[in-house]
Amino acid sequence: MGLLNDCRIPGHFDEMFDDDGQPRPHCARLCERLGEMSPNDFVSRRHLAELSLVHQGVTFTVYGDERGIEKPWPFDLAPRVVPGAEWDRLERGLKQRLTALNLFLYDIYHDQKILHDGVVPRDLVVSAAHFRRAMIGFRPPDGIYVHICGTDLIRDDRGDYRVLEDNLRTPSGVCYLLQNRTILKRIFPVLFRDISVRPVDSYTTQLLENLRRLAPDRGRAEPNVVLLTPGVYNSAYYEHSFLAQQLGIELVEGRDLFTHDAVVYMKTTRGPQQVDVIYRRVDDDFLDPLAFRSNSMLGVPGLVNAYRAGNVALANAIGTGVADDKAVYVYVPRMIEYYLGEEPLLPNVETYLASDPAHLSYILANLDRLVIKATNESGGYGMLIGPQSSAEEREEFAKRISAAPRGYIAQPLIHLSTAPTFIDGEFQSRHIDMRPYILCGPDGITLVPGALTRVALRKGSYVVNSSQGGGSKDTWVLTTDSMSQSMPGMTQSMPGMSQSMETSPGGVAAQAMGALNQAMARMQPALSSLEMDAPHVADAHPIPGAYRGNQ
Amino acid sequence: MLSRHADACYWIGRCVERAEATARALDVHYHAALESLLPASVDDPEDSGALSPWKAVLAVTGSAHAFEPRYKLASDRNVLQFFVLDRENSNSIFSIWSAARENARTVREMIASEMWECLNVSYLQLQEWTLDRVLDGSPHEFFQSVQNASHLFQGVLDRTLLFDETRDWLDVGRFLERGGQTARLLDIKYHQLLPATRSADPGSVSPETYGIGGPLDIQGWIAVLRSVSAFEMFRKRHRDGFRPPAIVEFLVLGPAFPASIRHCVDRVGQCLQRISGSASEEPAGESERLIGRLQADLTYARPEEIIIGGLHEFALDVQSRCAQIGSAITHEYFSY
Amino acid sequence: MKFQILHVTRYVYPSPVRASYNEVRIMPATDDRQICHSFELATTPAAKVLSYESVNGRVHHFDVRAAHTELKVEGLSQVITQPGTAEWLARARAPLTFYQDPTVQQRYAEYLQPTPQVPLRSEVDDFAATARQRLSNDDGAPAGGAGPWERDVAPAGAFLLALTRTLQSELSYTRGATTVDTSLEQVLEHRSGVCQDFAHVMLAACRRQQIPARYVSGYLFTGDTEAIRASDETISPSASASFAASPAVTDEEAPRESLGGWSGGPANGDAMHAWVECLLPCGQWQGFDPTNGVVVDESYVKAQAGLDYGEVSPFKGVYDGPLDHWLEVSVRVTRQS
Repeated sequence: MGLLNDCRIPGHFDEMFDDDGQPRPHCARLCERLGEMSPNDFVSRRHLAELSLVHQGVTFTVYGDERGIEKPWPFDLAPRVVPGAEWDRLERGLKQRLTALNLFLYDIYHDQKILHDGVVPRDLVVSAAHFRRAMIGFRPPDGIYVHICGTDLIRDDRGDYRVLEDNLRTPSGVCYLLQNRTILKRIFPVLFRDISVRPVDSYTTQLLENLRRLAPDRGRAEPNVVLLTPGVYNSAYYEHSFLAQQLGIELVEGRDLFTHDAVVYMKTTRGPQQVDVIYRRVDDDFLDPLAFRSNSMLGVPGLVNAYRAGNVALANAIGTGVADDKAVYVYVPRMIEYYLGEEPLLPNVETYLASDPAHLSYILANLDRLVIKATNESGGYGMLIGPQSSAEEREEFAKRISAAPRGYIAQPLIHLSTAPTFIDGEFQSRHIDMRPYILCGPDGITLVPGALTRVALRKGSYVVNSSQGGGSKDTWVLTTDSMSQSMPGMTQSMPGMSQSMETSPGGVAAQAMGALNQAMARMQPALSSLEMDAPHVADAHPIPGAYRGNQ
Repeated sequence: MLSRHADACYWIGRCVERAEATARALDVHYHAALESLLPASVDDPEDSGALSPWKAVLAVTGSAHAFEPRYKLASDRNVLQFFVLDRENSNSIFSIWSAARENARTVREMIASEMWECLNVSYLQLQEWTLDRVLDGSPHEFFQSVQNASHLFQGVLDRTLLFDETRDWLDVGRFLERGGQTARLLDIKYHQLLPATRSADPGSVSPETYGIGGPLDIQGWIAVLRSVSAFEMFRKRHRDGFRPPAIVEFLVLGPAFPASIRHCVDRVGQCLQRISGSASEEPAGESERLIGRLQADLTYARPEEIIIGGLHEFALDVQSRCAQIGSAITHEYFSY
Repeated sequence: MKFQILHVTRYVYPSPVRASYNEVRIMPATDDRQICHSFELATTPAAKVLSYESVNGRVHHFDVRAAHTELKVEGLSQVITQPGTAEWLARARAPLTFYQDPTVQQRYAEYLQPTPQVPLRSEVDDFAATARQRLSNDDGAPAGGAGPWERDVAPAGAFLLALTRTLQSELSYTRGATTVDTSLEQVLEHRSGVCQDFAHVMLAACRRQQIPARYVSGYLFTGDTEAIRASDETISPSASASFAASPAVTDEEAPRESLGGWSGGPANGDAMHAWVECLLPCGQWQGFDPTNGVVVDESYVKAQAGLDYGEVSPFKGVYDGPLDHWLEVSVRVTRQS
């Protein structure tokens, strides 16, 4: 009996084992490695990983306690593996999708052709909570609206990838993608041996380059790029501070900035410094009390007018939220056809719009089988998981949906795929999803071969949200389709690994700890909570007329 | 450097120094009162009550208006509560230390984690003190613990922080506060003497007791020296007794003693010049101009002039100039 | 008609304001019935005034970062308006069924949806019902509408005019009755308000009937009433007499409470008028003034049109300074020819 056994749950697609309980070819070598390991060794490495997470401040803070009880960000050491060709298909699909979404945003803030042509209903767009009518006619630099996108993918019971939602406003979580890889490489180098995993560390380089290219041309050698955070009390503050450090840019709050004559400045001890590009992690509503919510203390008065004047660039642009409205999501496959004349490569999850009378009656009659989501919310708010709900909850939702149909959509419960996850001293099957991060710059769309894989750590749970018992895994994208094909000599993608491979596990781990602590010592603890909806259980009963995405 | 970060560092420096100075002043005056020629605590409002060292401390720290409505009697208990644990008094040791910690929280990425820990641990310990515990043992123990916390912080800072702008801002805050606090102590000395000479029938005031160089005067000076830990150092330099001009020279004009006003102002000036990158001859802004002027006055003043001109007036002048420097710094560097 | 409009707004603060950011939406529009051929905006203390074109009209913005206790903004514009309204009813003869067409509803979706200030309360349906009643009783109804006015076959223009008059007679104009924060529900409850409230109620009533409608802020020339009414008469001779008597009103409201500081900004003081524009079946937008119960004519100068007051409020600003302030607004509309 090795450490790793077939632990599938019947009726679900498992990432590691096929229907006969045999390791899938691309996981063979990893299974072998894990199988050779003793539970004690595994446990002690996991302990090291947790320690290094705590030391770096990659933790949750329990609010309300002055001293702060910090828990490590739950990180499962067994990676999720994606074969090269499978990733390439995903990559094409994600690029296609983001291309169409950017074209859509440009269109609805300019000529509105897709609305005039009736492909996307106009009322759905103009009534979207995050549609910014005031931005109509404004052209962002290079016409790009979404520079950073986090798309949530799930796999159904047949193993088919589907897009669950696009996060186009201020997607979070990429720091965990990067951290998971860093930690796994240092703590567990042996896992990588003879497996050629594509590297992900170009993310911050590419992001910085894209941000720099956004800068208005002022004939200055080095544009001033800053990251705007709501502040230390924001749940994603850890990520903001991590990214600012990795990008080598200043982490600012609203009160660090001011505008004058439509130019943005940063207050420094050397006087005002003009700001060219703002990677903002603040929602539209809180950017500028003059333009949006006047009661917001977080914002910078005049920022939006400086943006309109072209004196500062924002990433992402203002008004992108209209395209991740869950009712507008339904039309993304049609956008792809409309703008690109292509078949969508990645299907949506079938979705019923409560604003459509025919769908509304179906939704109300099947509340116990559907997942209901509020169209303008993220982070799992305003949601009902039918099969896990009480009669009272369903009644409550029926009222809410009937009162404001535009505000709700419904989706069938989808089996999420599973992956072996180390729990209570053994591997158990747990549900997972995947969030790749896609960057759009003037030279096109890029994404690092990797993703944040989130795990629902509670048995049987479909909730991968970190604040509700979710964890994460490193996501490996192979250079080839299966591990058995990869040769030892091919591990060029892992520079530095060759040295540590010869060291004893304890030595490696100890070294790793030292280096990690050094590199990350100045991180703050913060509550890490990803905006992510809790998906989805069984029972997809397609009904005629549901929007099926890619048919 | 972002203004907000500089502002936070500046205030960390000030708050830690202020907490220490408050603890020192309370410690020395609490103990001086025990053996004073003057009554330690006068609770009778009919009496001018002015001789209480607490009244002097309240007056000099400008806290009387905040203290009186809530406590009335300047008893040991009330005054200690007010200056040590009172969370509504923004200048109580507890409040000041909390402010230092809150500021440090916002610059945690920029300072050594040991510095944060030092502030945080002391804060947690401070929370556990009660007035009874302060008074039950020796209050000295409590005051010493505050001073130790401050020294630990300064030591950690010196040992861990890079020589960069962060450190300069911490030092600007620290030395500006320290200079102002030394001026305050001189003023406490003045306030202790003043009411006795004023309230009593002029004919009955014996110059031998109250006059300059008299026993009370000397006792006051000794208290002042002790409160800045300068008693022994002063002795080493001046074996010929406690002549007021020598003490003024030591505490105000001399560059040798680390809490002398001259030393503090020099340090603030050096830090600001490094920050602004200005040459020493040309002030970069209003704050450097004000500092340069104060430095010149201190360089060319004589201790006897200060005594003749009035110690109180001098102390007030220094305090108000320190305040001006502080507000000039705020306007030039933090909130413009 | 040719007008010169001088719009002066003065804010006085009890203690210095350190930084003030402002947007001004008062420049007269240029469209098919008016031309704004000059506009100047000056501020004291002097500031660099910048502007951009929004969907609703031109927006000017500026900031004052020097400490000040008084801010004065003067807008001076020259506008020529066309009568252009004589044939509006002819263009508006199509029946109300036009608005039931889903294609129309999609095309003008934003002008049919509720907004923060215009919730689509069912109470407003009463006004529409009264307007229909008025149409069927009104022997002086515009030509082309003989016989009983059936629901939906009523010519759109006649219905909208009837609705305009209904609001004018059923709501009372009370200066200072409401503030920018008064909700539509409160206005409906008290049946009184200022021109903004009249406009919001009419927007709600139209949108409930699926008639695309938008809010208009602008200026009304009231100095030469008879001349204006004369042009009104050419449109609907029989009806105008009863309305000509009521003086035209615009809002000159008392200073409002500021929400304060960064978090609030200067109150939206305006001596501007407000009315609505409704889509006619011919595809043209036609103005109706429910406060005065008339069709908009050449005495009306439009500044901006938006979904509700919030989108086109003439002054919007935030500042760092004392909560209290004193506000003085004066508008002079002078006829030049």
